[in-house]
Amino acid sequence: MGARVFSADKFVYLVGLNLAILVVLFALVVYVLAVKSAPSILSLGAGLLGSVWNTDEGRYGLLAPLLGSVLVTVYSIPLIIVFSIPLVVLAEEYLRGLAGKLVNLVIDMSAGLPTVIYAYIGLAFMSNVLKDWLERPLHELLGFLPLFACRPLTGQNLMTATVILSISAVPYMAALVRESLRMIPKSYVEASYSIGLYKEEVILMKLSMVRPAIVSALLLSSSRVLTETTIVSLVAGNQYVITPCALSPVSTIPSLIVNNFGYSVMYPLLDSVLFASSLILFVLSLSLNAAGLYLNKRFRVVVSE
Amino acid sequence: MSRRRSLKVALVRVSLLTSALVSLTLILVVHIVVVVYGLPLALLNGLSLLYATPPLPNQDAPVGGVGPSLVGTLVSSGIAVALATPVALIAAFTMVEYRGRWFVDFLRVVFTSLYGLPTITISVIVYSLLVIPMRTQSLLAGSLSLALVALPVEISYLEGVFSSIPQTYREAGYAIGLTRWLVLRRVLIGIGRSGVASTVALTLARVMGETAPLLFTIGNAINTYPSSLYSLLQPSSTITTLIFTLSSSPFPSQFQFAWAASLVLYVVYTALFALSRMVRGVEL
Repeated sequence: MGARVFSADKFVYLVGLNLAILVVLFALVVYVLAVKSAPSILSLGAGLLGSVWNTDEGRYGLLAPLLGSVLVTVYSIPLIIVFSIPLVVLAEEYLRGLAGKLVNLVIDMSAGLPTVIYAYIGLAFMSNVLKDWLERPLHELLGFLPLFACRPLTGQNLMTATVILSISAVPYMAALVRESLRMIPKSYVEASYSIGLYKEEVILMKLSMVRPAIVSALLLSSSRVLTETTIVSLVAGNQYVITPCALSPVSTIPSLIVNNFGYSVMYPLLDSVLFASSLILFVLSLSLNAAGLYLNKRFRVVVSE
Repeated sequence: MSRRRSLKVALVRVSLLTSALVSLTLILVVHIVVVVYGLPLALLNGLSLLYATPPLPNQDAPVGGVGPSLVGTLVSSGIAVALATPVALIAAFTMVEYRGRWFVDFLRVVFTSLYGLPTITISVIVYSLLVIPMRTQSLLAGSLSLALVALPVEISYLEGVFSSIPQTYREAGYAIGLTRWLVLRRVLIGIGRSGVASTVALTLARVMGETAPLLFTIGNAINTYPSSLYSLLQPSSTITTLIFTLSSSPFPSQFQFAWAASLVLYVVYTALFALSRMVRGVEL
């Protein structure tokens, strides 16, 4: 035992090896993305951001799927906020004991539920329900707005995708917000009750205290929505169109990759275009994630001081 | 109390509770629908659901099983977590132990970038690194894609587990002359045993629910069981990719059968989730 305890600390080598593994992995990722996407970026240039996608004519404009990705993400933000924060408040503030614990359990369990389950339920069950009970009525009542001007032919469209992506992201967001609410020192809450504030006023105060954490959680959830593949591939409709209408089928970058990668060798440059689009996706998702993690870390420092 | 103030309070309460209830209902509907639509098919197929092969296009009834895909799921997630765990343990220890050093900041940048890597991007990268040179999609390529998903997730969980152990414990370890290796083994993994076990179970649950990283890497062999070690180099499938394939099928029996596959996936996920909760609750 003695010899082992006092032997030189060789652990440094393990740490070094480990660092090397991670760095090599990351370098491989960057290398493959750069080498594979270079041909299309060099030969098409700004044409990559064009609006026409036609593999037969060799026109690979990524504007439609890019816009689809952005719209799905932007539209889901208000839904995620409206459905996640009250859910956390319900579990943490209104329900006591077992009921609160159960709601929290449901949140945690749903946060990690395989997205392909959400996707299949969305396709086989919810898209029809949404079409009949939400999208048709919206089109008939508010059809004069460009947002609802087109007729929802199938249940697979931008709005259905947004709703299902939001449902899948709400539990994740709720779990993140809950952790930040639990970090507020008890003395603050007791102090606010002692000056005679209503429960709802204390809740609003607590929410405003964790606002940076909410923004951080929202950035992380948006990154999940942006890069989500199975849900959009199955319920967004996969049409390369640019339209202001939320009831139209759309495609996103991940669904573009899923639908075209299989036969990408048959067309010149297509394979490189798809790598370029996944590079764009990586950059977008990385910025959202990095901003989210940075804000979250700063919030932790502020609370613990 | 002014009337305006109590009105505002009432308004906040009503809107919070309404939207919370709608949200809870929507989330519960997902769980209920999986069970309600899946259960009749599971009863119809009985235990053969776990070992038979999926229905063929010319079949009228959604009769069959998810056998090969279930094995594919277990093998690929198992390999992925087995590969990622040692690396994640040491990386997380490094980030806690050497906090503030330059290489930890560097490590954090790499870790954040891997964390932000979209799963579909992982799929295309592993495709060009492994599938093209090997000339076939394979269980191995799928497992490595999943390992790439598991790694950053596991590092972030483990960093949380390790930093929740007070620094004085680590210092006490060094004070009695333990090496870093022994501090990691006896102090961090020793005290954080339940946290580490829970992390492994959670990562397993997360990884076996992934679809996108497998789409171009693992293949689509939904009818053949992996039989030997050589099968690692041959195409396979997982329950997630099976559901994805079935849900794009134009044949009703296959499309319907995806409910049964979803239920199996749901049960496996729930079991792993429950396991991660149970080991976390018990301080070993």
